Amino acid sequence: MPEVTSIKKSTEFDLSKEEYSYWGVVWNRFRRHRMAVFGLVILTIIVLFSIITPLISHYEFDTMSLEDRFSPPSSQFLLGTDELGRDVLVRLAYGGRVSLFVAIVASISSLIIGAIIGGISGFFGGWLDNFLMRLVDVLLSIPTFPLLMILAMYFGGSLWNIILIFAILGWMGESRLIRGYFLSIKETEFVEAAFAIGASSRRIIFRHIMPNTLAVLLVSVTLSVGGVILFEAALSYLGLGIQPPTPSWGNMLQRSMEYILGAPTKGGGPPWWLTFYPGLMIFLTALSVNFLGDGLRDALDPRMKM
Amino acid sequence: MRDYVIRRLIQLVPLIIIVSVLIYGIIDLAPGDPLEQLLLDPDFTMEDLARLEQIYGVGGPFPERWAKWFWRLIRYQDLGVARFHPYPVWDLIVERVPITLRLSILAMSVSLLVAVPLGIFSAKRQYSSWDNFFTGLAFMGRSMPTFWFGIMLILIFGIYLGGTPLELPMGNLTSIIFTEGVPWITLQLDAAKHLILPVLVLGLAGMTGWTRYVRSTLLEVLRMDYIRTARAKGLSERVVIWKHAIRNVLIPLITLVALALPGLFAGAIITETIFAIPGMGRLIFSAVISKDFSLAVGALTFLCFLTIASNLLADILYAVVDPRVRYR
Repeated sequence: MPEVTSIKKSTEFDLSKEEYSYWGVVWNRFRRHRMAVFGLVILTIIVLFSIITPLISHYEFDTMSLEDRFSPPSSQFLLGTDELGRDVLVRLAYGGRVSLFVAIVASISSLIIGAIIGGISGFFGGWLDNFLMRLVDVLLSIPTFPLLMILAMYFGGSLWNIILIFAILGWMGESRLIRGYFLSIKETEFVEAAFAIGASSRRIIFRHIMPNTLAVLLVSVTLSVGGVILFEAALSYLGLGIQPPTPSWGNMLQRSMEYILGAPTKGGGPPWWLTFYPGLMIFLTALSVNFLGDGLRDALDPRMKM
Repeated sequence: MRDYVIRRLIQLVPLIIIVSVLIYGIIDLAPGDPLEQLLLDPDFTMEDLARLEQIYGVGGPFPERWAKWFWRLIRYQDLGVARFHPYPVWDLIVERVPITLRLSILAMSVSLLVAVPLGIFSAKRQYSSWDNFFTGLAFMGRSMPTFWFGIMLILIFGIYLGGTPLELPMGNLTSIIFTEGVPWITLQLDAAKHLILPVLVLGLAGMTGWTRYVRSTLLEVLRMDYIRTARAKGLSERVVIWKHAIRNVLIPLITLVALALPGLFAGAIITETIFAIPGMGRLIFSAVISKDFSLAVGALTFLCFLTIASNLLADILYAVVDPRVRYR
């Protein structure tokens, strides 16, 4: 809310002004959350970097130059080169496209699954609710990461397979969350009123309840992007995620492990740039997404707890 | 209390059966059967295939296979034979669990030793620059890819500090150069040195998560009326926090710690791979990589039972330590 410096005449309040609208208030609150703004800025930079760098660089992600293998960062290769003489900077940008795409699409997909199942469960209740929630209990008692590994191993690490696997295994927590919101909103008076004037279930769900869960969904999807980025990187690091030659931050790290103990680098020493930069990108992306999610949560609803 | 435990145990039976059907089913239905690859060998006959199917328990329709597998598991502690390590899966798991368990318990202890004091410190100075600093650190810990953290530690302590007194071993549980007649204390020190980096990596998540948890719970508790009463009686801040408030923080923390064990075992997959430690994590990893059916099913079943058991343990512990909880 803007600071009130002097008492205004009632005619001076224009409620249609942007700063009084819901999103205007949210934006005002968000803006004052220093870490969230920091996260938004870093994330924007990473996204722009991933999109723009390949467009303006001399190198493709698979341009090899064997005489330049293991070059340390220099003016020719800003972040050095890998074991095949490929430019690390460009590969980082391509890897960023892949990792961000996977994380965003997978998070949204699992959110949709979670919203549908949680919504059905919370709205209709009864045996269906019981059945779905017991299913969630069972699925939650299978440890996620080993299951991810097994599915990725058997179905192969193509881009869409990885997205599918994350979507299938990611919805359980969100469905519980949405169910809780449905249960409580269903009891409110405006929903009761909608029932009373004979609104259809569909109308109540999509017009009355869903919009009220939007804030939770937005925060939930943001935080889950951070989680998927870390998990996808861990899978790729184990050699089970996105497969080379498609670069992802995780598989770049995995390759670098083989050379950390010794490689014919120009100038000697371990090729630290191969390990340091992909990890830094993963770290910064997850960090900024987490800051962003935290800020959004505070801005959308200060009382909301997750 | 005893009735409650018994009822919970009975409720577990269907859960265990459903979970094991699911695990067995997921891995069973996955495409790619290594036994079929053997048929490419012209010397390999259908009789050989049938015999191997018998040994690994993979022939027949799904319900029959699952039932046989489950019966052998509960009756004879038999999970079948691992294909690429020629050992019974049960023995492999029994051999590897203590290594990972020790690592996990050490990681937990270190996390708690860091988290409780830091959380209290932060809560007592809410919004001070120290508190903000630790909040930042906690966010960084939550966003840290553990494998990268591990590799960077190896790079720093194993390579760049190599040859200095700060050098730490890069992997494995002990050095291999030892022969007979080395004093006991040297062996222990060597083993301890090998554990420092893996424990740090494995404990990172707990350290940051639990610090935040202790901080926010303590802040909530400090707003309660009985704390105001304690302060009004003129008790010192130290007594208020360490005698009155801390109990209400630690009770839910105990639950959290009990629930963390399965997560640590899953986390050990990464940690043990980085540091080449022959524990449960590496066993799971090798089972998945080599598509070893019996081993993958066995290891995953173990993890699920661990999850279910720690859920139960958490509930029971909660009832034991918190006298306000009444179970009918």
